[in-house]
Amino acid sequence: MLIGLGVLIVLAGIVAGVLAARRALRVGATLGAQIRNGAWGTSTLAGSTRADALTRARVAISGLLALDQKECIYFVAARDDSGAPLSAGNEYEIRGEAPDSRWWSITVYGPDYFLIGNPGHRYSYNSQSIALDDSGNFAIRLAPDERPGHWLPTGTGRFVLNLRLYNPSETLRQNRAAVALPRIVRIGGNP
Amino acid sequence: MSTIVLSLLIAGVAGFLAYRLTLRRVPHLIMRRAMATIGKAAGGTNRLFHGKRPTATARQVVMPAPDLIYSSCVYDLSWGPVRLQGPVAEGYWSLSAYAENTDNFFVANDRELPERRFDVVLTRKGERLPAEFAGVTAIPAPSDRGILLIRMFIGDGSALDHIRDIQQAMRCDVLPRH
Repeated sequence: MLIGLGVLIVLAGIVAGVLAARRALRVGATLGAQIRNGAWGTSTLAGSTRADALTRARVAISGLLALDQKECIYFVAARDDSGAPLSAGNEYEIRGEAPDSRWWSITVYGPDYFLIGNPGHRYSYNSQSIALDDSGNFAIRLAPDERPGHWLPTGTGRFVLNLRLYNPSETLRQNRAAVALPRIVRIGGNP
Repeated sequence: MSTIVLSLLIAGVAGFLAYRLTLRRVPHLIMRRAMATIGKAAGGTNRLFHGKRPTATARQVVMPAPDLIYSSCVYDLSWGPVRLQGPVAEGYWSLSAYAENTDNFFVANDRELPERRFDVVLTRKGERLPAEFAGVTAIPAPSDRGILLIRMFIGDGSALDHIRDIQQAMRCDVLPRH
C-alpha cells in the first residue's frame, strides 16, 4: 500500500516537472525576451550558442533559426505601449524614427507566429519599402481593414510584431533597453 | 512514514529532471520537424531548396521574414563533409549554420565576402580536409545534422530577378570522407 502511494507521488513529481516546463515555455515565451524597451522585448541569447535551455526552447517555439545578435536583433511586441495585448479588435499606429541598423523591418504575425493571410500579401514594411517624413520618422497603421498611407492588416484575433534590425550599430547593440524604438499606440477600437 | 518521505524526495528530483529534460528536448523536436519539412521540399538531405518570397502559406518555420528570400539545405555529415558554394547577392546576403539543438554556430554576410563568392565546407569537429580544399573555409559543426540557411534581402522588390539568378548558381555537394 505504502509502496503504491510512493510510486504515485513520484509519478506526480514527473508530471509536475513536465507541466512546469510547459508553463515556462508559455509565459512570455516570445523569443525568450530578457530586455524590455517600451512595448518591445528582446533577448541577448536568441540564436546564441551560449543560450540556456529555457531560452533555447522558447526561441525554438517562437523564432526558430534566429540569427546571433551580431547579425540581427529581434524586438518582439505582443502588447501596446499601455501594456494591453495587441488585438485586431483595436486600431494602432506604430510611430518612430528609423532604427540605427543597416536595414530593418516590421512584420505582423498571428498568435501562431505565422504570417496573417490577406489578399494583398501585406505582411511588413522594411527600410527600403517605407517612406519617411522630412524628420526621418515613419508611421504605420495596424487595422483589420485598409487604411490610407502605410497600413498592415491584423487579421481577426491577437497578433504580435517583430522588429528586425540587421547589422545593428554598436551603439544600438549596447543600449537595447534605452535606444529609441517605435511606439505602439492604440488609436481606436475597444478600450 | 519513511517510505512517504523518500517518495517525496525522489518525486522532487524526478520532477526537476523531467523539467530539464522537457526543455532540452523541445528544440530538438522542433528542429527535426523543420528539417523533415525542408528536406522533403529539397528532395533529400544535402540538397538545396530555393524558397520564394514568404507568404501566409509558408509554414516550414515560424516567423518567416517576408523581406527575405531563403535558400536552405538540411545537412547530414554522416554522408561526408558538405560543400556549399555560389555567388553572393547584391544587397544584404548572409549564410548561417544551425546545429540540431537550434544553435546558430556560424554566420557570414556579404560585407565579410568582398570577392562576392562563398565556398564553405561543413565538417565534423576535428575533421581535416584534403589539400585540394586548402582555400575553402572549413566550418566544424557541433552536430551531424542541422540546417544551412541563406538569406537575401528583397528591399523594395526590384532585386527579385537578381536573387533568382543567384539561387540557381548555388551548389551543394557531399565530399568523400578521407
